[in-house]
Amino acid sequence: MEKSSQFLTFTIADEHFGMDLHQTREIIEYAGITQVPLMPQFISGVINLRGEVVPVIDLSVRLGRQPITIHKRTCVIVIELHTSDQHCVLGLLADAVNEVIDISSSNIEDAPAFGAKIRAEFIQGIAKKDDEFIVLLDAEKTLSPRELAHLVEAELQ
Amino acid sequence: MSLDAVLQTFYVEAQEHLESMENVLLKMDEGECNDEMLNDIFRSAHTIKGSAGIFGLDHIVNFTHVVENVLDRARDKKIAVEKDLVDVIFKCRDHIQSLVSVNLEEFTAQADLQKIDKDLLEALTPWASEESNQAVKQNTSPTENLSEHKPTDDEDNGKLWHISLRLSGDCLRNGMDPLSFIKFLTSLGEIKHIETIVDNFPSSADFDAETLYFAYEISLLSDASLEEIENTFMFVQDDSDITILPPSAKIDDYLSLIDKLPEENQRLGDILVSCGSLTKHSLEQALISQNKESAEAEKPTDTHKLGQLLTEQQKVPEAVVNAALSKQQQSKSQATEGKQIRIDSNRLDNLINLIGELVINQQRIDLLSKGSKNPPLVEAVDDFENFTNQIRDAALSLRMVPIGGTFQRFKRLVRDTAQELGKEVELTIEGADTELDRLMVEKLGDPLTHIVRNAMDHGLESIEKRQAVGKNIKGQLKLSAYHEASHIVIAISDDGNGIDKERVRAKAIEKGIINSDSQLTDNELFHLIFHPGFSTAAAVTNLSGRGVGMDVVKRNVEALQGSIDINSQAGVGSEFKIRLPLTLAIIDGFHVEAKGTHFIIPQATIIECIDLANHQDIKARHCINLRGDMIPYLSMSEIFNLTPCQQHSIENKVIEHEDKRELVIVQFGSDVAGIAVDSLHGEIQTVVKPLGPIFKALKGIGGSSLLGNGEIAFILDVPQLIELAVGNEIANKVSAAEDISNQDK
Repeated sequence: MEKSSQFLTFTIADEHFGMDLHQTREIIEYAGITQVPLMPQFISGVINLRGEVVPVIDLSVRLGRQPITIHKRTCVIVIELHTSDQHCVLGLLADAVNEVIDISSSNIEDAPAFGAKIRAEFIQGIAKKDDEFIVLLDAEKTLSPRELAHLVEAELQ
Repeated sequence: MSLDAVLQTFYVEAQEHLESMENVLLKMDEGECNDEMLNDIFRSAHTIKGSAGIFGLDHIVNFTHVVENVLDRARDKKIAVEKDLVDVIFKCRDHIQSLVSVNLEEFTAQADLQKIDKDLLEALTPWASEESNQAVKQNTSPTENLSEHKPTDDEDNGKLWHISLRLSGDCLRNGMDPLSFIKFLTSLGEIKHIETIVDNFPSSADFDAETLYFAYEISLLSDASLEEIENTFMFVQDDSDITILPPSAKIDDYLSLIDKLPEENQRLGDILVSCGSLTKHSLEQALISQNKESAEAEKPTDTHKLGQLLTEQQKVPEAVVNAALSKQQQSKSQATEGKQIRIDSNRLDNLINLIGELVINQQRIDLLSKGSKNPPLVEAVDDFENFTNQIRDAALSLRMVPIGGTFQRFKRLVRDTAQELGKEVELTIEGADTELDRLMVEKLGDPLTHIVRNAMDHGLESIEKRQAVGKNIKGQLKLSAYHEASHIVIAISDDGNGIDKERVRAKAIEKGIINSDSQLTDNELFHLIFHPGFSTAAAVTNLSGRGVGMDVVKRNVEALQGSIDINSQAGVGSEFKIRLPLTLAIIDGFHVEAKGTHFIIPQATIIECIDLANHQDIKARHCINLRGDMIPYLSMSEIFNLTPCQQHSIENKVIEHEDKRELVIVQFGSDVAGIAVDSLHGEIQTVVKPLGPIFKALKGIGGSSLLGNGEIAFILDVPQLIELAVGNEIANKVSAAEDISNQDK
């Protein structure tokens, strides 16, 4: 039998992305965000998620694109990362969340060595659906708390 | 409870007993000695031996047994408590500690441990020799008794205990093997007879291999006290039915035991007879009389049984009463030591978190009630607030522990280190009651150890040198703890040589840490000792001088959001001051706002609030004249580079507050500074929510907190904020200077 995994697909500025469903926790409506002083652009701020203070990342900036434009349908995808030493909850800004799809491993292609305009290690693979390409992101690499912390530190100095 | 969990309890308890042994030994070392202390230390050793026996940790039992014998002799005044003995017992205590940390296999595998074992046992011989002879005698005597033993012999009955064991069915599941108890009993005396009762054994269909179906009737020939025998079953007594009848027990006691047990009376009687606990004749008589009584009406029998119980209570021998009393006293003293309840720290943290949520919710209700204009509701909410505060304080106090326990441990360290260095040191402790968050206390151990060792090794001079400069030959070392504003200060001071500034300087230049022409203040110079790889000691000693340590101290203290100050005067002494925040889960804060961003300033750091408009800046700098004092201030919006109303960027409403600026005057240590904000919102209880690892590098903000309306506020870390402002100023000056020089070009 072919192995398939479930992915949550979402859109940022007409680009389609997917993320392993196991890493996502919930999707909430964008209802304002509290900016944290002196932070680099990819950190949008923090939100109050039922009593938990959760950092929100502008994935668009993190992937080297223009900052996301906030509009009525903007939403926050809450993801949960379990690294060896800690578990970390983060929010991601997205223009729209589309659907949860099953993608069999044979339909996932390796990331192209160049041309994706995204750092290759962030990409877990590329899937094709209805003639559209979906960039499957590796959340642990893209949003590694350690790397984000280093970036913040660099920004502050 | 699994076996691991029970073993864990053993380790924790053994640790406590070892600690109490250490405390007693330290007192003895100071020349104090009384019966109570000897009893204490004996009991500790005894309990460790006893519990170790249950788990079959023979290496601990064998060693501790000898130590216990020596202590017992000291208790009986057969040997005097002298310095040599205390020294050896100290070493024995440490050895027991290392024995506890290894299991039997590891022990047999480690030759060095065995060697220490042997050496210490030899060292104990002068005090134990007579006793060991006696022990041999004791071992032989029961056998002699046995050979002569006749069931009716009164003198033998004097030592014959009867133990009725009805262990709980879960016993095996809990990792307790009844065999190990029985085996341990043989170390207390001789088991004369053991009868296994298999009445409960089910049919093979119902049989569960993990359930214990056996019960035991044991008769034990022993000189041990009731307490000792009872202690054997310490780990199972809670859920088991254990009756221990003392040698002096009357037939009535046996009868009530027979009554109590579920098995048939006649059979039990036979068992007791075969155990040798009862004679056939006395049993028959007793049973007949009892059967007669039970033939009477039901009710009278009940009352009669009750009466029997009462007489039984009256007949309880003195030994039993004494044992019970001493046990009660023991538990009482443990309670006052505050060690009685052990709570999983996660549960405690969970409680604190929940209370945090309660506080936030209370604030939300408070907001709503004030909007409702309903006086009774507002009043009720006020009461609610009051209780919430009390619950909060009570919960937080659960996490606070006095620092005294940590300080106490240094007594031993100082004693040993002083001996090793050949110095005489007197340790004074002040403020042992100062309370600190448990998490901090745990993390303070290492840094304090380093500083104390350093002070003793490098700070305090040798006896000869002290004599030469006319100081008391006993070096003074002081550990103290006290509160200062919202911080706790732990100071370690000595009256030694002080830090040799020139040597520090020379060393730093040699190591390339500073340039030979650097101009440093004393404070900066002292802080060089925290540089990794820096050590001024001419020779590397066992204790310090490897240049690791002081940088660890600094790192550990900084990890706790603390700071270290050093004061030192050549020839007079040095003082290390560790300043720590009382980082609690919930703090009293003051809510302010700057450009639409909410901040919380810890209440304890605030002196006052003033209106900035009424005070003129001194020469357009960020300084004001406050009642004659010049006070620098920093502007929140500048330091955090805030743009107006960030969170409402969609609505694009910009409200300017420039003309209505408020100044909050804060104090940190001896520094006083102002923080300029746009508006003041008043006091608020804040639940500190850490911002997470991503924001670790962000200085000046210690955490975040939720406001009653759900918005997020940032909690200011005042010392860091001031540091940040100073840093910015320097950077600005440098860039300004560069600009000028660039223009010149």
